[in-house]
Amino acid sequence: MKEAELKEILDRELEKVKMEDRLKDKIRKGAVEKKPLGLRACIAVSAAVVVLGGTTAFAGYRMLNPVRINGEVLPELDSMEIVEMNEPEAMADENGLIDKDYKDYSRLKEELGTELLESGLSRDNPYMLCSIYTDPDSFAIITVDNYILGDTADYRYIEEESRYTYEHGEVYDSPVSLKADLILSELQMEIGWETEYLGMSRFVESYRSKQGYKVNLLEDMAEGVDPREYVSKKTAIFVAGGIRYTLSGRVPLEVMKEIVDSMG
Amino acid sequence: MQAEAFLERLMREYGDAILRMCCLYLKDYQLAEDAVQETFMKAMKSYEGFEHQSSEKTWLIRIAMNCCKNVMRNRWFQIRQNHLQEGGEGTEEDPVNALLERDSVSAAIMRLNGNDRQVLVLYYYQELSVREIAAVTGKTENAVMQRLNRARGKMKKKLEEIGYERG
Repeated sequence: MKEAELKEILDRELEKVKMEDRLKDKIRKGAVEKKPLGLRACIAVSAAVVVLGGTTAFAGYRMLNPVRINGEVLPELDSMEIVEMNEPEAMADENGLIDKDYKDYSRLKEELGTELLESGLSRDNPYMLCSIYTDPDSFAIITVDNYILGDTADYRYIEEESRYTYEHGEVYDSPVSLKADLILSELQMEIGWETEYLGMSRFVESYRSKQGYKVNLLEDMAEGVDPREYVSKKTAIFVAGGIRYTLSGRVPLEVMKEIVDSMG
Repeated sequence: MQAEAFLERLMREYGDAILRMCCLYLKDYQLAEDAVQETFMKAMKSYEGFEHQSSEKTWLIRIAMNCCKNVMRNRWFQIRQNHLQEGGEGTEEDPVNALLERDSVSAAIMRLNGNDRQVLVLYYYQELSVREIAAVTGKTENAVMQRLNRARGKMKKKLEEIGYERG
C-alpha cells in the first residue's frame, strides 16, 4: 500500500460515515445566533444594565466566551485572556490531556505558578478535592470541591464514589466549590469557550462585586420542594485576571455575594 | 438567505470529510457528531472575522480540531459532575465501533495516541501541507515534521501488525 493511497482507503473504510439529514437539521437550527435573555428577565437585569454602564446584553454583540442557560446568553462578563501556566508534573493520556489531583489548593497554585484568586473564608482543610484537567496547548480547568466549608460538618469520605458526605449547617446547606477556567493559547482564545447550563437553572441577577468584577448569579430550580426549607444551589460566575471563576453551593444569595467579595 | 446558502455549501463540500476526520480523532461517532455540529455553528458565527489568510478548508479544519478538544473537555467535566446521561440516541450501528472491531487502516490510526492521530489525519486524510498543519495546530513547521515522521513510523508498524502489505 502506498502512502498516496491512504486517503482512498480511508474514504472507502469510512464510506458509511456521512452527514445525515438529522445532523444537518440540527446545525441549521443552531446556526442562528441565540437571543439574549427574554423579557421575563428584563426586570432583574435592568438595574444591572445601569450599573454595568449599558451592557451589551440586548445588543447584537458577538461574544467569544458566552455563558448560556438553556440556550439563552447571559450578560457579558469581563474578557477572558491568555494566561501563563506551568505544565503539571504528570503523564498526559493518549490525547495529550493531563488529569491530576492535588492535596490542596496551595500546592496546586504552587505547581502551576499561576496567579489564582483565593478566599479568606477558605482555610486549608483535609476535605478539599483539588484537580486540574488540561491540554497544556489550549486550556485548563481547575476544580476545588469543598473549597469553603462554612458551618457544614461531620465530613466522611466514601471511597467508592471518591467524594465526601457531610452534615449541613445553619447557614451553609452544602460546602462551596470553586472552578477556574484558563485559556492557554491564542488558538483557544480565537475559538472561544462557551459554557452551557442545562436543566433546571435560572438567571438571578448580574451585578458588580466590591472588587469590581462583573458577576452573573444563577440558581437551580428544584421542583416539588418547599422554598422555605430548601436552600437552592447558587452559582456565581465572574472573570478576574482573564480567568473565569465559578463558585457554586447551596447557600443563601447574600452569603454567595460575600464569598465573591472575599475572593482576592 | 446568503448565510443559509453559505452554510449549505460548507456542509455539502466539507461535511462528510470533517465528520470522518472527527471520527478518526475522537474514536467515537456520537462525540464526532457533537464536534461537527459545533464546528459548523462556530464557522457561521465567525465567518465575518475570517481574514482569508488561509484557505477556507484549513480554516474549517482548524475550528473542527478545536471543537474536538472542546468535546473531550466537556465530556470529562460532565463525567466528573455525574451529569453524563446513560445511553445514546437511536439504535443505529456505530460505524466507528465496527471499524475498530476489524483490521483496517482506520483502526490502525485510531489505535495511536491523540497527537499522532491528529497529524496523520490532517496530512493523509485532509491532505494538508506541513505549513497548513502548523497553522491548524499552532505548532511550528519543524515540530509538525518531527511529529509526522514519528507518527508515520508508528502507523507503519501498526499496519504491519494487521497484515497490510508495504507499497
